[in-house]
Amino acid sequence: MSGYLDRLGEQLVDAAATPRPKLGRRTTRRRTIPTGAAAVLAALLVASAVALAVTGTFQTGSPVRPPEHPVASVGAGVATRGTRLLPIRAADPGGGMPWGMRLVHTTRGLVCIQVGRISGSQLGVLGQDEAFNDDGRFHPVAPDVVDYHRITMEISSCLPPGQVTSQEASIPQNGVFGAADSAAIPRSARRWISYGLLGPGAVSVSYQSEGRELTVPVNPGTGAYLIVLPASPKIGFETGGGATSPNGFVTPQGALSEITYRVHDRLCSESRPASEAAAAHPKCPALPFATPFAAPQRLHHPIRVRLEASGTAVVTFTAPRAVTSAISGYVVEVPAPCHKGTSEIPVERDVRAGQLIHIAVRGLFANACGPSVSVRVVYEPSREHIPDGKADVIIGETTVRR
Amino acid sequence: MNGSSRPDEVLLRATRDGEPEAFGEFYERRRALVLAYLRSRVLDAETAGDLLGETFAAALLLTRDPERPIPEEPAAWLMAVARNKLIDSIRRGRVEGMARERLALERLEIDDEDIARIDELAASTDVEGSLRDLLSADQHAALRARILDELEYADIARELRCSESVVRKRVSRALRTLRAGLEAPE
Repeated sequence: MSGYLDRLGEQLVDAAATPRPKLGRRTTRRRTIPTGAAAVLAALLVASAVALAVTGTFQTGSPVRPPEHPVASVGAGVATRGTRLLPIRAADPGGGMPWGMRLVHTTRGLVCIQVGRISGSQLGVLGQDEAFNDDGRFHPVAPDVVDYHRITMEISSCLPPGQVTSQEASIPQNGVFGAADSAAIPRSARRWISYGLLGPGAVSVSYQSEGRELTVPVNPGTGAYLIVLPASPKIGFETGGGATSPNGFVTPQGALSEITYRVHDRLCSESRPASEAAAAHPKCPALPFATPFAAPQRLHHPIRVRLEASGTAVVTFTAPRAVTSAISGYVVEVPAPCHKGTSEIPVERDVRAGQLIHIAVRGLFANACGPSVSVRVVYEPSREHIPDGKADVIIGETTVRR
Repeated sequence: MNGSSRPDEVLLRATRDGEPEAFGEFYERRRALVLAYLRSRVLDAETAGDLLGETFAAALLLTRDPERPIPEEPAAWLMAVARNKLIDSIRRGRVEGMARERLALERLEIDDEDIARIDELAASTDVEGSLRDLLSADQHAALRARILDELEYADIARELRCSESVVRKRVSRALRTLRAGLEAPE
């Protein structure tokens, strides 16, 4: 059997031989909740409209509603009354309605970023290029719409409080991320959006436009910024992504070359490697290289696994702790020691202490290293965070044979 | 797959043009360089191997993106991708698998023999030497200190006995020389 390095090479060659994925969506961890709602809602985050925008006359169309009825205790939850349109605006390269950003706080404790065109005090998208049947109207995104990208991650727009993010997205002019025929959308009708939420320590962001280096202040308090440029020379059309950090600093993404922070009354900056030499300020304080993980606590509670004829396994356990937000939660783990990996199926909903939980696991033996697999249920007290001393709790573990 | 003398840039272009083995060749040629860079900056060989996979997966995604130019100096570009992956992993406290997931690549097993192989390969590879071939002596010294050793400009200036602004210029020139993919967002 060949070693890791050789097999990695084989994997890469195989991947290079497969057709290029149409969308450059990014994922972090496999999630089991349905992706449809998130994918469609992703389409509504960003939109542009030059031809219509320059006319300046828009009628208001039907509001954008979530494709599925959101549930307050599931996934990202539903919007609370804290939806806030930020005072930042970015002009569209083609003129017309400016772009803006708003923050949506959810019942599950997340903060979601939404970017779109602004009409008055509303954020929305425009009906053209096959979006909304080309009705030429401004479609406000309803204030209770929550975008949830922890699955598809085109733009990881929902964050736990305190995290910071720098993102980019290349979007079609039809206003819908994931248009039916994106190849038909000309380059001139595409936009490159750079946006983020940098936190209270951020002061300004710098980027290049038409050969000029520009520095603009971020929104005080939130550190929000938004830059809209013509089609990106850097990222593929209908792709997006970025960086998220729980530690206050984040590497600039998209068009950004530098982010300036104020730390202890002194200015420092985060830059891309190519921009470091020209950085206006010293680099922000380095983070420690590795943070020790606290050893997990083991409760040895019973868990049951029932194999169904379809190959799906149903894992059942009693939750010893309540989950009241997306910040913490349970996860079913199936370690594959021979692959040095673990399949994770998170429970993306609120849970009562003492509640009986059933989780379906497809392909339980997909990465099995032998005739049996180990299945364990873990409680994560602090998801998406660098280890902060709060150890995971292994609720229970069992072995399942084929 | 071995034995070709085609330059890196040609291999990447061939990859984009539908010759997947070309990327395998690029990987085999440059994996030691990337691995050596990563291994010296993370605590264990397993993490270095994981980051290596993510780095090359990201490089493949970028290579296949028709809207991006093929980097003129792929080795340096690859180092920049690796560095970005390294920084992200430090910030997030774990190695993300975004690029591999986009390519539908499963994470691979890294066993004890692999760990030994990674350490061996990393130890026998001269990262600086590889970069030195691409840069002038003063640019290489400044870049090494800034990028590889991650020193502050003031510290580099003291070491090289020149002003901070000179160091910045040298690093800037070095980066310009390496140019291309250093802007890669992956």
